[in-house]
Amino acid sequence: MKNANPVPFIQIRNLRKDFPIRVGMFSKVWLRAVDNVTFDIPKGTTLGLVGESGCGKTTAGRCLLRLLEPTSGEIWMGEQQLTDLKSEQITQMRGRMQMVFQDPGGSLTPRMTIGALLREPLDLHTNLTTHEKDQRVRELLSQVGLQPDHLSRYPHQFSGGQQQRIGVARAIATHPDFIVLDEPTSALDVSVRGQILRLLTQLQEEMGLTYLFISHDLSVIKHTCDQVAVMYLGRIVEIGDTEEIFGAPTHPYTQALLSAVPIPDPTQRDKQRLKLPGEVPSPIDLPPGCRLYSRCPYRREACLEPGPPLLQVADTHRAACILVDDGVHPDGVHPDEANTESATPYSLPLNPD
Amino acid sequence: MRDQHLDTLLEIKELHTYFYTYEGVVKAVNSVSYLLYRGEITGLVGESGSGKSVTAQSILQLVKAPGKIVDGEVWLDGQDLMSCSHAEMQAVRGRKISMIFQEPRAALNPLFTVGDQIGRVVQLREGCSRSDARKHAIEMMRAVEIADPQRRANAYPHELSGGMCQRVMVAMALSANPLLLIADEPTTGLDVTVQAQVLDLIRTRVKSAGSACLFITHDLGVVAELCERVIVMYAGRVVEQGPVAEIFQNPRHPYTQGLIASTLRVDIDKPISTIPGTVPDALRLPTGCKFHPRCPYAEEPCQYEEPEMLEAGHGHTARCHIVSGRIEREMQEEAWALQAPRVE
Repeated sequence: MKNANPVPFIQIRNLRKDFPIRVGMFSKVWLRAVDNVTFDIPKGTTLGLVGESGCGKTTAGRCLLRLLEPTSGEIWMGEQQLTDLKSEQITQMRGRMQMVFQDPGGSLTPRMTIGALLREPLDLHTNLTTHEKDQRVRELLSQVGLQPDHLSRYPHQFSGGQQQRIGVARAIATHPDFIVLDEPTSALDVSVRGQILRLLTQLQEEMGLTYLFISHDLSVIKHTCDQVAVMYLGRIVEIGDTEEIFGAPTHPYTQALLSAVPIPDPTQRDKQRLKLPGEVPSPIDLPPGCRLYSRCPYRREACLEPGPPLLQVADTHRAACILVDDGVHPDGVHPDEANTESATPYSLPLNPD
Repeated sequence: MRDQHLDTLLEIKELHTYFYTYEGVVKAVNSVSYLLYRGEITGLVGESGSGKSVTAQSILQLVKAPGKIVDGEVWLDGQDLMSCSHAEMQAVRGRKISMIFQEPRAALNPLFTVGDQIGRVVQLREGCSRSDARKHAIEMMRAVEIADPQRRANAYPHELSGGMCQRVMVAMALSANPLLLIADEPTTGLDVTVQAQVLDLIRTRVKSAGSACLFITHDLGVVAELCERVIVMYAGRVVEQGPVAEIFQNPRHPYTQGLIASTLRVDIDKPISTIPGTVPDALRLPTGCKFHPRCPYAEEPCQYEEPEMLEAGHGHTARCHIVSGRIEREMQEEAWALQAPRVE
């Protein structure tokens, strides 16, 4: 099923995370934030995890590093099963797996100088001498394009782009193998965003890093990732090579997501779009069937059955839609097939509950 | 010079808004002039700190201390807003000009239901009874495509999603049938599918009411899809303005070019280009052209002499020495793509 050559470095199997929600003084319901997520990331490549707010992409990323305890499932990094490790063992592993956060200012301690911030991971995870640590900190600064005289400054003295460079420097300080990038550029201005993306790509090539790139911005994902997984309400609805996902999106949700992205070219203003009516339903007490059912223009009776599983579209491309077998139009603008079975899609009630 | 059929609604002339801080004077809006036309959506583009939002606040005279409108004229439909008294200005706000804010949850009052809040706008304008206002509010909520408006009118802002709150804001802003709608980054923080819905809504409502709209954003994609005209701001100044097709096909200011080049697209594969450096510190702006430290075309005159806004095409002006012919260089699209990954 998989190509033999790229050896998966990160392997996630049936990852699940439930959060309790209190509904009364003594009763609670469970919110399944991440539902049966399975994927592989080959060494030295980037997997993009994309979806709208509340789809569980950040929760999945945090579970991978065991910053959150997964409810069930397996996480493998190389030969190591992370879910088996005790918390002390995980602490020791942290030097090998790091995270870059969304809010560059908020993720840096305001009372620590940059020098101290960058030394902290070295103190915790390495046995270097003081001199070696000093050297490493200087090396890190030049790696991310900052000046040595920045060492004694505090985070607020830097611009957003520079703060994110510091966040990246801190993440690579201990020579990790795997970094979770949680929306690393969404707080940055357009002109600076490109600088950070280039830095991340450059570091990946130099250090052989493996990335999980979490973002809601499809254009950023397209330009940085080798593979893409699209999440909707806790489930992966489509996963595959970046060119496949962007060139021939198969799941109606991916199609809608892609066609909703504004294109900076006024001549393309009138392109046809697949619009999803309504909003993402509440993730509590979801029906067993397809998560997109309430908004999908192609929906039919069979979509209410539990599932659907990820079905093979191409060698490196799978989508969780029963219409894969029937061949949904890849442009996503011809939902006439569905019309034969149901009424006009948009006339259906938005919330079947 | 201007098209005949265009009907000017708002005219801003030489607007200067400064912030007097302990560290010095920040010229947030520096000699900004532009026109807004009826039935058109004008995009105001720039990065954070470029003065986009302060321009909008200046139109409504909502600039907070230590900010102050130092100089300039704002004419709305023949009325001089700068000479308006406090009471007259209050009558303009919400009736002739209304505004949609970036964070809908923060802009709505958490203690009142959304139906009450929309109704209050109607009540103030028409002086009608509360029950009539409520009926009108529900009508408005239906107009902005809120499903089940009867029930949702009784909801408090925290009970609604971000997209729903933004619809409520749009309903509230449009319930007074304003002449001018100012939307300050109304879709930032919304998901793309919801953003598409809100943009559709603003477009249809503005077109059907024949009002003008100033749409502030940093997203060129949104501008390309929604706006007829574009104003690009950098470091408190307008650096380029013109019809949307002109700006995207033939950008004349290197900053506009850089912005377009560094905007990533989902439909095209291209290398990631960036504008080197960062937005200058507002207290220590460079001399001459404010963009010259980051500009790949900069030459000597750019360092000491600030260019004027010059005609660069039909209804298209730009503030660059290349346009005036002061420096002679052919602008190339590749200039940005070929930029070495220089760091600040």
